[in-house]
Amino acid sequence: MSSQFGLYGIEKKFGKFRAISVDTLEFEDDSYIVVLGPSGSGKTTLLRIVAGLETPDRGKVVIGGEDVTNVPSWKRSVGLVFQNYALYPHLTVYQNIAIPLTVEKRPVSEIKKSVDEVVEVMQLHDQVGKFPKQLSGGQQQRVALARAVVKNPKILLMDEPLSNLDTRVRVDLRGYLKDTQRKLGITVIHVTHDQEEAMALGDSVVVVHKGEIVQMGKPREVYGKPNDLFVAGFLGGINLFPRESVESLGIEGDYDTMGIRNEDIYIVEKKDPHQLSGVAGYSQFLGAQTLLNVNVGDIKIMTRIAKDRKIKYGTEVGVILDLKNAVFFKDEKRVDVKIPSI
Amino acid sequence: MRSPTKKQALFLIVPAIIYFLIFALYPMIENIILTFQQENVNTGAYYFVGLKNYYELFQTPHLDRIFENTLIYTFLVPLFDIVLAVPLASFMKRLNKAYILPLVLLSSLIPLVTAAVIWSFMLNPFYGVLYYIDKVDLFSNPWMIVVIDVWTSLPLATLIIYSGLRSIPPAIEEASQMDGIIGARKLFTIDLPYVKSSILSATVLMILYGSFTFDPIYVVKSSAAPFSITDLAYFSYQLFFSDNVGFAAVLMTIMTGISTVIALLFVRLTLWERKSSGRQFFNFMPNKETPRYLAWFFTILYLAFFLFPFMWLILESIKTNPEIVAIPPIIIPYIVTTAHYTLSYIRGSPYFLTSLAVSLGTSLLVLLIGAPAAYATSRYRIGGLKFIGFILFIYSLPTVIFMIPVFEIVNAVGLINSWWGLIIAYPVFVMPLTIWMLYNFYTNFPKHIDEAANMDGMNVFKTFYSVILRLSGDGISVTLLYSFILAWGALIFPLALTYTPFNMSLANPSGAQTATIFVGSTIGHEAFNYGALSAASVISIIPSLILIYIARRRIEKLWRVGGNVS
Ligand SMILES: Nc1ncnc2c1ncn2[C@@H]1O[C@H](COP(=O)(O)OP(=O)(O)OP(=O)(O)O)[C@@H](O)[C@H]1O
Ligand SMILES: [Mg+2]
Repeated sequence: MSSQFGLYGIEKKFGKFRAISVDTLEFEDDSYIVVLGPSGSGKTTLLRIVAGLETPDRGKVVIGGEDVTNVPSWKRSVGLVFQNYALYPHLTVYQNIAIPLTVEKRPVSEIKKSVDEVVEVMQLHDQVGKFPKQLSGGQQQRVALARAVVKNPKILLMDEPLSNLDTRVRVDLRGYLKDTQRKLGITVIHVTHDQEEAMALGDSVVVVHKGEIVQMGKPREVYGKPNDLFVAGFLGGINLFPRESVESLGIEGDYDTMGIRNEDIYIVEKKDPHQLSGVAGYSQFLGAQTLLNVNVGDIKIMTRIAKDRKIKYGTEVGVILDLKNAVFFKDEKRVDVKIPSI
Repeated sequence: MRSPTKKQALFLIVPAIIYFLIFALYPMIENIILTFQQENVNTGAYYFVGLKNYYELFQTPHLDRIFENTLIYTFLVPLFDIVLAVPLASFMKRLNKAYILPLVLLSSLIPLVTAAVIWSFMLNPFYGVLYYIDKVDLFSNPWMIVVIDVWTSLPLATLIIYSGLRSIPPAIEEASQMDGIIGARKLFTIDLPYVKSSILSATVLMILYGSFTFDPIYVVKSSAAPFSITDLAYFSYQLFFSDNVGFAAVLMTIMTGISTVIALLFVRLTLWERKSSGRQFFNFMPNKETPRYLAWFFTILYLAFFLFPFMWLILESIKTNPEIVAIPPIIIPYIVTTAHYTLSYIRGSPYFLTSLAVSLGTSLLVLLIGAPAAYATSRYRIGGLKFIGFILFIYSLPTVIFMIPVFEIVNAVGLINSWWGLIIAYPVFVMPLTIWMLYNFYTNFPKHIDEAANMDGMNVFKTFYSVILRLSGDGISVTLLYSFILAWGALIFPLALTYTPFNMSLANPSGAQTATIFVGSTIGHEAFNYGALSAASVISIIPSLILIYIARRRIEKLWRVGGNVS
């Protein structure tokens, strides 16, 4: 059953504090995996265990079908891109990229060939003679990436690779990272706390919370069918209705909370047909859309409305819920509930 | 300089500037003037002699010997220091044990005079350990001075490089682990290039250190052949005491010139970020982590070199006189006595008392003038890097060059041979370091605290004296202690400015010879009083032990030379 890459029964504690524990986590070849979780959830620790920078207290790390739990980092066939890049400041871009190869005393011609190749892929030809300090953040990041992949590792690990960059560059680089992964045909594990980044990039997303993996799946799946309230909230705006408040909708089943994402709620005029009624609160204009607060009884919900639509504070409105996208929870865990067709 | 706060801050730095103008800048100029003058032996008045003093340079016998010795100290000491410091620093980093550093540092924090006394015990061909190795007389050999210099300066070189190594970001360490660069090869391809500026600073500091060598020569001199170990610094001091002030001034001006060149290099290295370059691949080095037992083995060897002399000294101080001069030397005494301590207490208390009072007075004075200046420069950029550069420049000059003009100043205000005379003179070699340490401290001090105080309507002085000073306990306590140690170990100024021991009368005080003079000459020059000398030496080490104990957790930051100022 063992796959090419996997973590089995891993646990890592710092003192008494358990930073991460993983029962089983297996990855497919050549996929882009994003590990997503809030600060302090153990993402970095997980990544460092795969890299061999941290030794787990127990458990097994498998890379390329081999047990590498006791193999030092540099023999594991993994490349790591550090959050702050960790380029050697006294070496040029070329030397930085070449160093994993020069250490192995490979022939100069072979080194040159490999380095030229990644330099090509990373579009760094104009920069090879410079020192890291002379590069922009985005360029440094590409050098770090080049150094990590020059040895053709089986897995590329990236710890928050985009978080030190401007928003704009960040979005550009997302496409670049994904392209690079495809070109190199490599498995990537990318750690982030940005749920948008996770969904944009990941073939699958692993959500980590308080040192445990709470869900793993394709982005749509994780977004649409979150395993619990934490995942539901962490992946995007969601409105939670206690069962009593939506009893009028007549949904049967064993649940205590119904969740509906912001974009699945529509606001109509009071006189039009609707399911719930509420009072408009403040709205936030965000450019592409407007977020509107609505009080339904004593529940505050948030919804998206068209950017040019204005609803005055205090107006009575009608609320329509798109129930086919609703999720249901009992004791914080998701439960399946049959929606009556209307 | 337009904002009102900046104007106020200016006042914080003025006392320091005035002090340095009088006690540092004026002496440098006065030295140059003196080179064209000679003293009338009868009246004491100076008269113009043109270039006569400079001609003397070419007529002095043994001058070649003196220059040769100076060169030996100037270049061999740093060479040994750096070659020995790099491995030690990297072993220390590998072992990562907090208690090693204080042990290494001890020998650099004791008075230099004491260090020289210890080694003259050790290297005595009849009564010292040297007897068991080779019965040679090293007392007329410059190598003996080199050994003493290395023993006292290697810790500092090690500290600077060690702090550099420790400041390598963890991510860089891990990156090299990922890339498979480890052990000796990592040291050469990653670590050393990374701390290149620390190594350079350490080298320059050690060059300065070697080139000013004075105290060991002073101690060993009485047992050495004339001129065999003398260097420029010591020779100019001798000239001053033989009333050849003009010629002494020539030598001091030469030293100032040479040190200025080295100092400029030092200041540049310390204050300006250096561009890195280089492609060093030490692929021939073993790419394996040094086994811990090997690191331990070498570290223990080093520690033996640093600490064995202390043990020898302590054993010496409790031996009875016959055992002290027994041949072959007795290592562990059969009979233990405290008589030497009693004797050196009775004879030495005026000297120790003076050192205590003067060191205390100096540290407080230095803090009073130096702390506001350091704060104003770091916070309000008063004088900016120029002032700090000037401070480091003063720090890099040999103390001996200030001797003649400072003597004149202290003489003019009637404070020769008094505590106060020493207290006003000492800051010239203590304060530069104080300001530098506090400058670094305040640079890392949270800015929002003074901003909040400013918002509350406090002016710069009130902010400094009632808010900042109270919160600077950390930086100030370490700095105070370090100033104390520097003052405690001073030798040149007491030699020039005092001539009798304290008369033990606070009502009608006179005399101010210090513990360093007591150890270095008073009993040191008495035949066969080794017991009292060793006991006095042990006593002279106590303040250093206290400093190390108190600052043990922060000792790594004691000396932040070599890093770049952000
Ligand atoms: N070396 C260490 N010693 C002690 N505790 C540690 C250590 N490294 C991590 N931890 C703790 O383990 C927990 C998980 O840390 P980790 O760095 O893996 O979190 P993370 O998910 O990467 O967070 P972030 O998004 O902030 O980077 C944290 O609570 C952290 O304090
Ligand atoms: Mg992290």
